[in-house]
Amino acid sequence: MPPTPCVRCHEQRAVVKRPKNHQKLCRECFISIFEDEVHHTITSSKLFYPGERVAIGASGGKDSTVLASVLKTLNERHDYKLDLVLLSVDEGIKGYRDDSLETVKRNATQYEMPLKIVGYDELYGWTMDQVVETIGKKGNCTYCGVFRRQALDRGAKKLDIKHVVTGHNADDVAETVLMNLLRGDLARLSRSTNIVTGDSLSDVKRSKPLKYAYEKEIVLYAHHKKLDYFSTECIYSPEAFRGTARSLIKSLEKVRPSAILDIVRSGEDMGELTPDKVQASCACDDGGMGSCGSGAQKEAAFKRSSHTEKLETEIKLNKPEESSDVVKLPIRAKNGKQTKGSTTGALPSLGKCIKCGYMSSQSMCQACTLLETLNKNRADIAI
Amino acid sequence: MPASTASNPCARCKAEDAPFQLRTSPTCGNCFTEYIETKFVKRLAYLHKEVRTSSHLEPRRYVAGLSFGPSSSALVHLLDGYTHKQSKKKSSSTFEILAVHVDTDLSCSPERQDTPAQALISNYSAKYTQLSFRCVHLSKVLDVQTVDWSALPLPGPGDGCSEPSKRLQQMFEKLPSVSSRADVLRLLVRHLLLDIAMQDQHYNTLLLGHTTTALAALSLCEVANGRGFAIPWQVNDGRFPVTIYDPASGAEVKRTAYPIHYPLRELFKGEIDTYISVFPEIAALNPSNANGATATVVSHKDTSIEEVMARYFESVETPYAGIVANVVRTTGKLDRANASGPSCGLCGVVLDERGDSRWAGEMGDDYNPDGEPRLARLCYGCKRSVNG
Repeated sequence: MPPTPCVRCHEQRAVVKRPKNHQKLCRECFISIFEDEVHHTITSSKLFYPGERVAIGASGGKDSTVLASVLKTLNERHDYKLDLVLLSVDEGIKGYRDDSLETVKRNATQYEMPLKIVGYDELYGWTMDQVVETIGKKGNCTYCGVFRRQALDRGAKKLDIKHVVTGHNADDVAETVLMNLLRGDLARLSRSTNIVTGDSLSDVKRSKPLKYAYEKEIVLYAHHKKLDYFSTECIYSPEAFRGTARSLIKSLEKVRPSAILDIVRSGEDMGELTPDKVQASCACDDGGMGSCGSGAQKEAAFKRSSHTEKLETEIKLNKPEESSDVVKLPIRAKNGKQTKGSTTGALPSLGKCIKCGYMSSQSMCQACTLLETLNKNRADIAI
Repeated sequence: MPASTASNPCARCKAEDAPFQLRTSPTCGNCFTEYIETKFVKRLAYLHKEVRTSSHLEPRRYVAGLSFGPSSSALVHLLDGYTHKQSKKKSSSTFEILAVHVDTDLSCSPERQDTPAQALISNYSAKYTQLSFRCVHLSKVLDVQTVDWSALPLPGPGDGCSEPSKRLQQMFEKLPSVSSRADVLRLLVRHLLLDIAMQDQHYNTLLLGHTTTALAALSLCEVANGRGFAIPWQVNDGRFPVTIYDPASGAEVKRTAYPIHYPLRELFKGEIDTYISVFPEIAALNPSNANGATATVVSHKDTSIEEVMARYFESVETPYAGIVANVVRTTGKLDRANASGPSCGLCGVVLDERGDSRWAGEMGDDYNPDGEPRLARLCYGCKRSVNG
């Protein structure tokens, strides 16, 4: 059988069948079309301004590695004049994060970008290994997710950077759209598809330049560019826990490859139709977007939603009882109804956490609330 | 009593024999059917309140879609029972139902009188004598003026074949995928049912037998089809926008709206299946229902998005009933966009004029490099279905 020529340049042999539309392309054309599409996303959404300092949230995984590589290439090719910095979060998971951070360190030299690492231990006094030791493997992704979102912001602030880009891809966005529909979360639905999250009120804005890039194409790009990335799943989030939304998306993609992009489009359009288009968002949340392979976290959210209404409030209602070794807090209304009302009715307004000063829709931000419970347990153990 | 046969009594009437499960409590057959009927009657009462035009007693005349599947069969059964009840009551308005089946088998000529669909229709009309039944061939959809036919790849009558069913068949063959065919077919059946209901001044509402499960699957199916903008119209009860096109020029002639209601919207698919098992005569009307196969034009070699979604929701209905209802409730809360702009020639929903410029997901040169201007009459999702 003669080799199929590339449909774009008609010269080279096609080696890639694009997962997105089954076009057969040669290596060079695939790489250039992938980069052009990201460039299109960046220019059409006016993501950056010349001279902007941008932190790339880097985990060492395929998405963020590809993001760093593409941004470096485009920054040079199209003269964005961006000052790019790698920003990593060290969750403190032995056997996983320490290895992936090595990858990030190599990337930093390969791409000639400065690297900043912020650790959970220095920010919160807890590593994820310690958290799991205390609360067990179940539900630990909630802690990790909440902590990471804040850690990225805090790291950016330390660097005096106001824009963090993350490697969320089209599959992630589509998954979030479906998850928010399944959970019945209209407020999150309206912002989950925004390319930029965090509004004028927040200090650090976050965006996802790979929002329209298919996960499979990211893997192909990394492969053909021979990028150095770390591909192990987090040890605390085993494969078996993958959310049903993810598997639904995968089966839709098999039936019709454009489905992922179509779901993203539908999500954007539905965002336009939400009755209360309030964009204010609680900082500890970017539209219910998970960041790592946080299947377990989504699965947990999914299970919660089956006994509806309760979702979301469950964690926050964790009685913040006074304990001796923490700052005293004003006692929050124990009345469940009040909090419940805030999730179903009007969107909460943005304020500051009374403890750490980080923006929050509640009197105390989610990270501090979670820390309270953890610290209480630690105190118990000490006794 | 031996432990093995002991079951809890019915949670509602305390009858000893309670073989059914209603949400989480054991229920006897009587209470179960009563529950189904109450849910159904409540929606009918709501419908009556919405569409009545005077406070006097006036006959309620509705068209009901009948696919011969479990839900629409149950709908017909419930409508028949309700008609009986209403006819006995002097104080209530009379009830007239026309149940319409659209025969989607394009391989047989529309003139034939001995098709399987017609045999089934006569089964139904022999059983439910209070209701009227009609079987309409899908090729009749070509006469429908609520579709902008010029936006679809339909061969003209002069292109070597004049027979309507052949033309339709050729159009379906031109569609890019199984999902597209299933999607366009669903929309055309809906158009045809709407047209029948609208043509006859007699009737004032179209009833469809979607259950909560089916509506949830429909919502997510539309999301996956890229038709997120159309969802609030597709899944809510109420007036559906209809645009009449000039068949020759494809120009918009008139715009109106027609009520579509889903009286089974508060029942799960599993509950309807149980309901049917209580009345074996419903299942007996259509023996092929047992294996869940209904006639369609498309081959089942590949699956469509519609099937993937239906299967997904049937699988999550029992473990996570909450999320099925969640989807319908959430999408139902979305606003319906202002209906003044141009509308899509296929699905009929208002076009989101700024949508394509807001959309940055494609560079536009991936496919259809010289997209013909007439195709811009379709919404994003319909374009995907028609062009791929």
